[in-house]
Amino acid sequence: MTEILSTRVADLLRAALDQPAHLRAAWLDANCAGDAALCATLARLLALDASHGLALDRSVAEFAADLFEPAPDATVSGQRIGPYRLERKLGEGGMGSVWLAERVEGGFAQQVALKLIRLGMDSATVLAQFRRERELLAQLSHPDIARLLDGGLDAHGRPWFAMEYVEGVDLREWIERGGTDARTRLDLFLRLCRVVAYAHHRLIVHRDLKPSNVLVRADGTPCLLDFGIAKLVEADAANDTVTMQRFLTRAYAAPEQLQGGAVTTATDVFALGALLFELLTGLRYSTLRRDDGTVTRPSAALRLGASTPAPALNAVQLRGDLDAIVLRALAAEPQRRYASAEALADDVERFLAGRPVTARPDSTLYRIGKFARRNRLASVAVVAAVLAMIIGTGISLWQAQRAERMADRAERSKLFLVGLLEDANPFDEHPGRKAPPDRLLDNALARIERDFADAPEVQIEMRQLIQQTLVRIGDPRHARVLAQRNVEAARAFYGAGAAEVGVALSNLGLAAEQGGDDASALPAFREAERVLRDAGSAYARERISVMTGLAKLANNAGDNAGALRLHQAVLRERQGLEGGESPDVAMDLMNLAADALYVEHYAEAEATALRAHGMLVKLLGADHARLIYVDNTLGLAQAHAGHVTAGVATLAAVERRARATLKPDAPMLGAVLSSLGSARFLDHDWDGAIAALTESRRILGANGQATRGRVTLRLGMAQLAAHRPEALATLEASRSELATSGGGAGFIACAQAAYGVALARAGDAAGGEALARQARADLRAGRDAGSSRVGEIDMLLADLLDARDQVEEARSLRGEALEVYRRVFGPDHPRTRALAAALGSGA
Amino acid sequence: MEADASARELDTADLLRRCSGGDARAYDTLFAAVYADLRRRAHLLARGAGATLSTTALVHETYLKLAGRDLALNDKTHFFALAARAMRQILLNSARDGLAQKRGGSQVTVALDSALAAPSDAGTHVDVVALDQALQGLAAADARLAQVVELHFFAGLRFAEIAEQLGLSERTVTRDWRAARALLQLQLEMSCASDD
Repeated sequence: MTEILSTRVADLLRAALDQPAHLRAAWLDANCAGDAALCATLARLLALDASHGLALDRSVAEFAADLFEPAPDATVSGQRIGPYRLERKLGEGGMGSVWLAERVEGGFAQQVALKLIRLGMDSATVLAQFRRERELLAQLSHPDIARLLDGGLDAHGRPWFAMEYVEGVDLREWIERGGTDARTRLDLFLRLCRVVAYAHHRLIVHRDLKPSNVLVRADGTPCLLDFGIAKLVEADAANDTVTMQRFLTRAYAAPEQLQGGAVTTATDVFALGALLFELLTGLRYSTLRRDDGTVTRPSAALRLGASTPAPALNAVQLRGDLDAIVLRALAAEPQRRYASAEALADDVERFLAGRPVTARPDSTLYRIGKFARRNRLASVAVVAAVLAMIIGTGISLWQAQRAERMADRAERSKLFLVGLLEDANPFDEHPGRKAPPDRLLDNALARIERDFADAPEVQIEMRQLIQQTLVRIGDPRHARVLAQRNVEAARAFYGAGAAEVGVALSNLGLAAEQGGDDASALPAFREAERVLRDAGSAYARERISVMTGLAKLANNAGDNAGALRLHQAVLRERQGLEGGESPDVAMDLMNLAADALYVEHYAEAEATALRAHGMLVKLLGADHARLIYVDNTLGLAQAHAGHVTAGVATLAAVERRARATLKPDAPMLGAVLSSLGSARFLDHDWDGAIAALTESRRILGANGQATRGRVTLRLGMAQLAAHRPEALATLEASRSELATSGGGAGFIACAQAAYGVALARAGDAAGGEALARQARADLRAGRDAGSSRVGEIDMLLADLLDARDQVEEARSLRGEALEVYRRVFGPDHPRTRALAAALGSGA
Repeated sequence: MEADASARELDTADLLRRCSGGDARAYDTLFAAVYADLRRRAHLLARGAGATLSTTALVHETYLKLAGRDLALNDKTHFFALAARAMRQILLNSARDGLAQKRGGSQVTVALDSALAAPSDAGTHVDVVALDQALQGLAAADARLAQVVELHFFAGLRFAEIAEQLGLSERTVTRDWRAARALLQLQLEMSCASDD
């Protein structure tokens, strides 16, 4: 037998371990030099290296826990603790034992639950802190909290607490008894959240929420035990977090508690998440928790978990919202959890009301699903639409053979969509597996080509669904590739003049326009309009979409009056289709408000935008993503109509929402930042305006947006106002950008004049003045002669003349600007009044 | 608690310096303090609900309590070596106490958590005393392997920390650990078989 613990074996084993696994056998043969016993020993050692459960895989603490005999608990019934006599033991846990006790001093009989803590405490400071905490806890007075009555140290220095005695079963038992449906359990949970929130408002954190600390009374109401007790015991825990962990129930402790981090209200939110997990699945959260504190999605746990005594819902019902709510509450980082117990309760209530929950970010497909579930009738329509999509038009189901083929296709389509959603599930607890949009897209496209090669019409519908989603999440680039492909596919399958080709063209136009390529969008929309014109009422929506696209192009090209006409026609067609109020009607109103903004009818713009806002909030709720679009217009209208502070506030809120919802480089985010910058400019917040406009310009530039030139101009004017030297370069850039993208004469003239002022400031006073004067003349000769931009140029020129001591002409120019402001903004507008006051002429 | 009070008054860094200078009394003083603190913590654990706790946390808390955070690397190395020795001694003494209580029969065998038990029967039961003997044998054959076992198993240091303290690469420490783990296991299985 080879000596195992020898230098030779140790060295050989080390060397063998350094070899790649597949070469070790050969290495052993070569290095054991014919010693069969040595070779066998090493082979055995290498096999052990690869196996689990060896002696050294244990932890020393496990040895210690097993080696040390637990101290016997000498407490017996009849014993006196403070003014109480112990009656019988109610329970025993890691922290200590709980007794039913009766008050025997003080002249009145009272039954209490008396908790004896095992951990000894023996210092005066600890005792003082213990008393302070106890007083704080005694202030908690809520029907759903077992009141702390008394407390102290027994003869052995062990702390005890007397609590109101509540009859009931603990949450675990309540769940396992069954007979409670999901609604009952969620109602109980909501009540728990509210009572935890009550304590949080009084700055008391429970710290040890777990099923055994929740009693359910016979009438089904919950009562929380041990509120804040853990904190009392922790008084001695300065360096002893290890010790504390023994007393806390690790299974329900938040990661920050285990790591000795700060315990906050978020710690209780975590534990509430664990309770919700158990209420929904009936499974013990503690058994499913992983070492790193994360947990399986409830639905997955139910599906994997062999048996659960009493699930409230099945895996399919848990999937989605409830999974998301639980995982959000159980997030490892406190800041990723719900901000409060109320926020968690609110989301559960949202779920119960069938409204979108905040735990899931906005996604079009999610909202479609949510909408369908909320509206039975509508969901029939959704099903019909999906069927239409899958089956296509003009196919007779009575043809048995075909029907079979269609059934097969329907099944495959469904599987495909499910697969797609699975890939996109943002709540997968393994972030590394989360599909980035590009990969998701590539997967989806590859599957469309592969799985549906025999059904071009299905391919077309699917590409369209994905492409529309891409546009909405701000990825027009990929959308356009898909749209282009669909136009070709539709022409090949349906024939060049078919309405389906018009639909594909309309989508292409939209993607191109969103991507900033107006030149390609225009012919696509125009051809779409021609094809769809006589396609009948079935294509009314598509016509609306085409007209809306054309109107946007008109706006981009500076033809605001043309856009307004198109939008009014859209609104009429839409109201014929959907009645007076609908989410889409709200969007049409928003477009009209934007048109009014462009033609400087600010009060009208504000009123129309407010109507759109109100309609959307009423129909879709105050947190719907569409509000980004509507409130963007509203904020801009408010700021221009003289309600600058309100406008800035509206737009700041829109910015937050946009950042939370959209991709960081989405064109819409650029648009929102542009609006915010303009509003801040009107608010004379130059630095804020410059920051927003700079980012906007970057985003819009990256997306090649036609509106970028205007943002550059506004940025240059903000820099000019802030006396920044870079204004010159920015304004020069704005001139060329506006010239190449057909930005409208008014903007080009403005850029010219502002550039002149910058030039004058940079030293070329005569050249700058000449440019500004030329710009003014150009503007007054053109379509924008009545625009407030004339006034703006007058003001710029007046500043320039002031600097050149031509005071009289400057004053006269400001007088003219005042006239323009009075006409465009109205006499009571802050801008008008500010200028009037500066001129000393009274408003 | 008395041990704590006196330990707080110790200048751990000074004691460590004197230990490395060969001062046996300084070593004994520090060893006693570390031993007492670790034992107190382990004892509290044993009185708890029986859940497991990492050695790493246990030893690090003792370190924080007795040494604070600001020891030089060299002193830190000594401290953890000493803590590992103390932990090993605690286990050994407890096993011997248990042995004595159980009428001084044969060796006490510690049953490990059955839920975690590996398929191999030999791996599920560990004899603390046998492990100690095997470790002595390993130290004689290859001192560094034994040192890695002490620091990782008894003091709960992570491989990266051991690498830093011994001036080795983490890869080498990991490899050494794997070698020692297999060697000790095989030795334990062999001694078990020969006892029967």
